[in-house]
Amino acid sequence: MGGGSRSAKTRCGCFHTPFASRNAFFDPILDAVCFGYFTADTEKPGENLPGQTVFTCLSQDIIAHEVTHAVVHRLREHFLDPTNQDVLGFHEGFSDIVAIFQHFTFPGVLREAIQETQGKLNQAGPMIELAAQFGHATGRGGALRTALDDPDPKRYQDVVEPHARGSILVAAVFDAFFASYQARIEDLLRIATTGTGVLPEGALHPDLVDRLAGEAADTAQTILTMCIRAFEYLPPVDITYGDYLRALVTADFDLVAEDGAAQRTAMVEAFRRRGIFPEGVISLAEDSLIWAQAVDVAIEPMPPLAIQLQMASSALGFQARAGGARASGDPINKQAYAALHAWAVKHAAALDLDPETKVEVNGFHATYRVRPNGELVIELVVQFVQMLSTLDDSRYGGLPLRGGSTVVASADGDVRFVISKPLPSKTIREGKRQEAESRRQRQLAFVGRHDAEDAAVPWAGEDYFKGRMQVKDFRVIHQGLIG
Amino acid sequence: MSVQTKPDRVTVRMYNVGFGDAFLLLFPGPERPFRVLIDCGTHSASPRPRPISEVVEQIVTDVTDEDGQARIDVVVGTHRHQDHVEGFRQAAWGDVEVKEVWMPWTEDPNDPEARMIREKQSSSARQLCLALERLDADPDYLALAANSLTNEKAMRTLHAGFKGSPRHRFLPLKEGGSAIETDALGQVRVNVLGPSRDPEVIRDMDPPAGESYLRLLGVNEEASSARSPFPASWQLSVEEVDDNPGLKAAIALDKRDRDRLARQAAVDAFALAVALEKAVNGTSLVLMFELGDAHLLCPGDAQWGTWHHILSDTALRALVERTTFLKVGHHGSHNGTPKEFVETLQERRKAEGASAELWAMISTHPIKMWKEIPKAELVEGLEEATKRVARSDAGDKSPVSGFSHWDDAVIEAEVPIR
Repeated sequence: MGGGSRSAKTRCGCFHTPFASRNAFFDPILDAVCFGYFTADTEKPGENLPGQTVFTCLSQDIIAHEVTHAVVHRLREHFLDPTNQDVLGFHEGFSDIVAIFQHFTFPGVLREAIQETQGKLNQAGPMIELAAQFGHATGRGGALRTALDDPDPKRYQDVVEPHARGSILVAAVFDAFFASYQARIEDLLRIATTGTGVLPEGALHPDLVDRLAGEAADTAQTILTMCIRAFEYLPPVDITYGDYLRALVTADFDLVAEDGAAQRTAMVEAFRRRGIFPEGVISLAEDSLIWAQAVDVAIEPMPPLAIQLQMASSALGFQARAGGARASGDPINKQAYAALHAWAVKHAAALDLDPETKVEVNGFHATYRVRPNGELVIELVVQFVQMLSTLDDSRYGGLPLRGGSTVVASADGDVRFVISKPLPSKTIREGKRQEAESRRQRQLAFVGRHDAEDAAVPWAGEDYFKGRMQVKDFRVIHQGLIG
Repeated sequence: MSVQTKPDRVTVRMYNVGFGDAFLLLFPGPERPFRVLIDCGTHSASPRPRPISEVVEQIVTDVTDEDGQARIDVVVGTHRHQDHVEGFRQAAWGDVEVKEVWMPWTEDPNDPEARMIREKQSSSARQLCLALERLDADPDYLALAANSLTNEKAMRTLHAGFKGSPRHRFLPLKEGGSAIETDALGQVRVNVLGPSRDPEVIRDMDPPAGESYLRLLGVNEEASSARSPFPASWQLSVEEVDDNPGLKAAIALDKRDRDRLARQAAVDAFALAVALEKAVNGTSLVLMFELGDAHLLCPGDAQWGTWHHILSDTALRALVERTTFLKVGHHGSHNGTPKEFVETLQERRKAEGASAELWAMISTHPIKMWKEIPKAELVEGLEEATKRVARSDAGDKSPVSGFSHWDDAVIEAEVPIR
């Protein structure tokens, strides 16, 4: 069975495609999510019938994971270009995060898990495990992946395989979730244990379970929302876990300045324990982590025409993304993009863009958020992307050097954040020039690391070698792990 | 008859087998040199400068003492790839007296974990070759996969075929450090640097699951359509869809999409062959022989996982940084010798100048379909670290100073002990 959602059409189609394989993946070219089916291992089937037919399209976890890949790709098409060690890990990790936090939306399952673990959700069990049936059915003897780990900065240094690297991100976010959850239930436990902190043996009182479940579900929703909101504050290319941490902190601070549940501190701490540090920050204090606000930058607000068109089109409903070479036939969108493009070229220096390289408008949309006090916040987010070709330099393995900026503005067009990944260029300001060069070095170093580990390099033809860093699809990434 | 060695030199003889390995190390000994034979085999896809039987004859001659008995103190089979063991099929080995045979721990018949890895690799190789043959696949892939087929006769020789009831060691041992305690080689110290029993390294030894081969073969095709989970009434042929406009619009897959889906569902034969090759290379025994100032590093075909393990361990790293003789891994391929290691050797030369002595030997032969072995940049990098880099396929037409060339059959290096 496969499901597809087309960017050119506005409806989603589901259709059968015989696809006998222990795999499920998102195909960016077909713009489809493909789910395979297979027979369970006959010797170690776990809880399945030996030889039972297992459909990956029936797995809540696999669906959530794969569809999230599709969504991430829609929001950031260049997050499939492995320009550094974290890029593919981010795709996998983020998809796992969404899948795991979905577990908390099933009240019955959640209550049962709380009862079984006596509220200690950071223990092995269905809440924090992914794709258990798949894992057992393929003879692994356990779930495919889990949200738990033993925090070890060395792993972040060494591990490159995308799913394993993604697991580090998942574990960090789950760590933050669990810390927040524990803080929230402290008072409940105090009441329940009359101050001793020790829960009685045996079953918990059903009222307590309900309250704990409620807190767990709320916390899960809060953390997941935090993770999703952070997207708006991500650069358009070359993402690192450090960037994501900064985006998490910025997004949350921007909306909920008072650190009520200390979730941001928990997040920073969880990343720190795993050796994940953003580049170019002077400390792990919140002020340092938040993306620099663009207050000093002399830049006029975004073109009003573009804003008006965006608001109008948002009111009409979801429209396809358009811009640059892929501009749709829609005349409204074309106008908006033209205005934004002109604006970007005019303010290239302030936006950390290279005026001598073509600027592509890679997406423009409005975001609608509600503060805790009920206030509606509307913001505008536009992504500009640039590229330097590397076709004649095999050291890059077929991936161009890309740079760009995500610009976040308030509803009246005042630029609030410029989150940039600059291209090496003479005109970019000094501080950013060094950053651009070290980005380039990092990309080359990653190709070198890939080559050292890739067993195919000695045997492969020239075609493979030229495009060896290009990820054609997720099937290839999954093949390392499955089947 | 037998080859002698100078009292202050370790002699290394690289036999020209084409694309494969056969090295004889000779350490000065009381009455005769101590002899270590490391591998003997040629790749099935390799041109043969001379038949392997002749090479074996030459080796036996080189180790035959005055009393007419051929003796080798240690025979090493670094891993069971054809291009390292195929030569052990020859009957001549039955008359060679061997004291010890060293193989990686994955060859241990009494180790259950080893047996599992061995069987998985063997059966994967068999199934993959069968599948590729039946499918009439690209001969390159078949050649790549065939190297991993277990050569029963050769393995039997290694395990039980030499004269003199040799002692078999499966290395490294579970407990203890990297050093081997043996009296077979006199004062020579030997360290085993791989394959590690680290779970990460063992994971590299895991070939792709058998299911993939069966699908490649289409063996399951008839069976699967017979017990397809979808009843026939729910299945549509392409023609039925194309003839029904409503259905066609609803499904919205044009031919290009369908082709891509079919490709996605297909199994990548090349990837499987590579994964299998990598898995067997992962079992490579990595040995360091030391006598006086001579430090000989023989890494078999060890790739990233094993090298990474070595270079991340302070003690092991210090050991390899003393190398004065390098048998270049995996026939000079890019990932048989990490860039990091080559750079270390280059730096050593810069720091110590001419006194940093280093010999490197590459046993290889260019094969048309595999242009990246040996890797030109690697050879250049080694030449930056030392002038003494010899390739088995260079013959005596372009002799390299520091080596002795015997026609194009053998290249010999003499590595100083003091």
